[in-house]
Amino acid sequence: MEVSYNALRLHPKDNVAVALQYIGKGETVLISNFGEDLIATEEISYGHKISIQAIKENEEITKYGECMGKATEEIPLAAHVHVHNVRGLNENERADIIHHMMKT
Amino acid sequence: MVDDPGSCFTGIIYNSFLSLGRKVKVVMSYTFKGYLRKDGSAGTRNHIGIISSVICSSTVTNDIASKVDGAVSIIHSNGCAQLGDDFNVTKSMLSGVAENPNFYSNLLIGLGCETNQVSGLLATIDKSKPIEGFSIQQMAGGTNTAAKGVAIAGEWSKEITEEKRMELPISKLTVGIITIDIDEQKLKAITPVVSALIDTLLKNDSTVVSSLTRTLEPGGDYLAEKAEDMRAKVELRTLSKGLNRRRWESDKDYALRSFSAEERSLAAEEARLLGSHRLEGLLDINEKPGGKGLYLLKSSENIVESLSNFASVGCNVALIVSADGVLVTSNVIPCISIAPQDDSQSPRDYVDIYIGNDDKEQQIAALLEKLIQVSSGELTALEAYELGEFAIPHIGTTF
Amino acid sequence: MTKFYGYRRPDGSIGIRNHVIVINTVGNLSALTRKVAGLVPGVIPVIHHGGESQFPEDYVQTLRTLVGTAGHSNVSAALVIGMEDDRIAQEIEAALIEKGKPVRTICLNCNLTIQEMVKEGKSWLSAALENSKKETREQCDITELIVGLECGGSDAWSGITANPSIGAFSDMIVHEGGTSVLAETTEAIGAEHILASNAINHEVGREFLTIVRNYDRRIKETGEDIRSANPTPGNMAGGLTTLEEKSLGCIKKGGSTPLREVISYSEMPSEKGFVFMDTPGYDVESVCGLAAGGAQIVLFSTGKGSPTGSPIVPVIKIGTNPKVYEIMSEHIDINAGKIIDENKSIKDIGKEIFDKVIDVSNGEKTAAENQLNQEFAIWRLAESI
Repeated sequence: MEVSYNALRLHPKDNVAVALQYIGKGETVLISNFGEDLIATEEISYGHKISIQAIKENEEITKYGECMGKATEEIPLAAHVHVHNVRGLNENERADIIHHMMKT
Repeated sequence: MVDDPGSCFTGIIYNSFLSLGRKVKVVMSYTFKGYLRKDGSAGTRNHIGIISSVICSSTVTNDIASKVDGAVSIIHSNGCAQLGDDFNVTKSMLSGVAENPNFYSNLLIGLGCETNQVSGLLATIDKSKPIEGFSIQQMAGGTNTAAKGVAIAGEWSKEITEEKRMELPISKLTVGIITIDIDEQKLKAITPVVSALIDTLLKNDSTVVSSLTRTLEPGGDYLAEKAEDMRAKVELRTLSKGLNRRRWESDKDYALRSFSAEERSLAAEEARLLGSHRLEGLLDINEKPGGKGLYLLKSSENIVESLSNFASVGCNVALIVSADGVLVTSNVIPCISIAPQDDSQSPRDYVDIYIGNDDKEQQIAALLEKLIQVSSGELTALEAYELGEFAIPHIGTTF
Repeated sequence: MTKFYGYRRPDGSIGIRNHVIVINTVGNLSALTRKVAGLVPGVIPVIHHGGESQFPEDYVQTLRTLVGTAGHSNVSAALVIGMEDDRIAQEIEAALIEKGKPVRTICLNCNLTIQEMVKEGKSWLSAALENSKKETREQCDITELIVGLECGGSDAWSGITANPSIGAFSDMIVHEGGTSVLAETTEAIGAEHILASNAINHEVGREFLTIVRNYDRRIKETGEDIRSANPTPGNMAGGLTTLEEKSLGCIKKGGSTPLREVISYSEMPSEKGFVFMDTPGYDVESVCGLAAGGAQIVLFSTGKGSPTGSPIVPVIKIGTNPKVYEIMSEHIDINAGKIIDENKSIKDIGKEIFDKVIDVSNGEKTAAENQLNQEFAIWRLAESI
């Protein structure tokens, strides 16, 4: 029988998955492209992100296999990942990446 | 005769008596037959405007207009991914055009996700005429949008058949005038007749709006002398110093370019074309005149953008002065194409009036008569060929 | 290798449509061009109001776009309506003659009345249309295809469903030796380092960073800041958290193959593979540049639903969510929303797009073609003079 997923991991390196439908607190999260099932610790709206690993403060949030921002606080497993616990990169951080990239 | 402040004729009486060679004095002002709007303005046409807020809805807008008698499609390439002043020009252009007295009513058609929201336009456009608006995403597709649009505009189409033109004084005319693609020598042949017409219009309390294009800008210091308003004086003098427009490559050697002696000389002649009256003010793109009299309107030299600019500031008729005629007109306001007579060429079917060496007074009268007739419903040559267009000027890049 | 059936042109390029067009050089001739096109059913009008009263940066870009559009491999023959001594008309004509494409210029001449110009245009177009019907398709390799990648009316799902699926398609076509051209420089701001690091070499990476930086600067000059305005409140409600995330979702259309070249607006790629074209995020202007640069098809992901097409290239619409596909079905060709509610993978949809591209290349009409959406707008840079 085909498994019905309610979340999607876009890239093997990602530490977040996207909810394909509303996921209530305590509901099982079945993630496409990810081995294990999780239990949501918070409600996750349609299209929002859920952590599929515990993420430390200042650690990169990875989506599409790329850094999309940094955690502003420690994010436990299976939690809602959004503007309340993630920030975009600042000018210096981006300049560093570009500088580093051009050297290598 | 026309210059005599005491003599006022209706265009028709004047012409018929003139042909009898009599001099008559009738105490009556010049009139035309137009559509009086609730706000006191007058339409020389009675169109239904189908206006797209963004290029994405232009196909549906055209579709609606093609299915409704009396409807005119106002489409353009702007409306999204615009910022700052460039976006403001698009908004003010569309709201200005909707308010043009030549429209009986307006239907705004949007996509839904565009920068230039229909709701924003509806909030700014004057409500003295019927107006409605909705978007393709809101209606779940172009087919539904077109069907609803045709139903609404179709009702208006029935209503306009009931509308009658009425005799109105020419003080209700706001006449745009643009001089384009003409050299000084050819323009000189036209100046005496057109300047006299403008003086007559102003004497009769009409409003005249002249495009201030790059060919007239070098005449800014001359025009500044005729301006009452201090701000206009200062700005006109600045504009006469050299060509200056907004561009991204401003750091390159593209900045202010000074005008040549020939450009200044042509501009002086263009300024003389505007007659002897004082200037009431200098208008920004899409800025409406604050009262009666003679105004300058900042414009690009792009003919479609300039004529659309006239439509957005409330002109209900316009004059295009050029050497050989133009092939495009506004689809909102009738534009009378005026060119100098050239015996070496056969007359072109897209020029309305040739100005030659005939009797000056007669030519002035004929031009005024043409203006009155066109304002009363006679089609211009370009209207008869259905060569109306609309475009919005850009003053910056898109994003 | 995947094959399709296209029209082989005398210059060796491959068209997937066989359009007869009429194009104007300056705004003064826009209405006449519309009128002439209307007289011969099947002829496509390409109408704009530029080409005059423009600074060199705009003039050159307009000229390049018009030449690229009229000379496009999807065009069988072109009628140009120009002024006397019209440089744009001359350049279009020269380019098409060099390509061996039928072209005719009618110039506004004082000895021709409107009626005569219209009559002449009508008879030439009718003959060109008859002639085009004799041209036949032949088998071609997928390496001949250039596919533009675009989005418009995006939503929070764009970066999750449709754009990664387009990316999967891009990887497939590049793998088979074809070309994909990603556009919309504005949409890359915030993720430029990622695309640049994916460049084939430093030079290409640097070129890409330069066009993004210029764009960023232009936006700042208007007094706006893209970082404070993005993601929009609507984006955030939909689940987008940062500008990087939003931009990553946009550039995902480019897939994972290395970036080989950065080209200007309306410029032809000189390399096969994955290419970036400097265009605005304004979708219609961007599609216009992609087409003028030789793309025969454009893929267009849409979350809100956009009907727009192109006069000369088929535009394939890919809906990002099930709802938009349902309510805007007349404007959408592919439902990437199946990733959300039917457990389809990005690869599945990528393959569906690939098959659709081949079908459309063989002549199948897109939603935009069926709805006669033929929007055309050239990217403007400076104020009109």
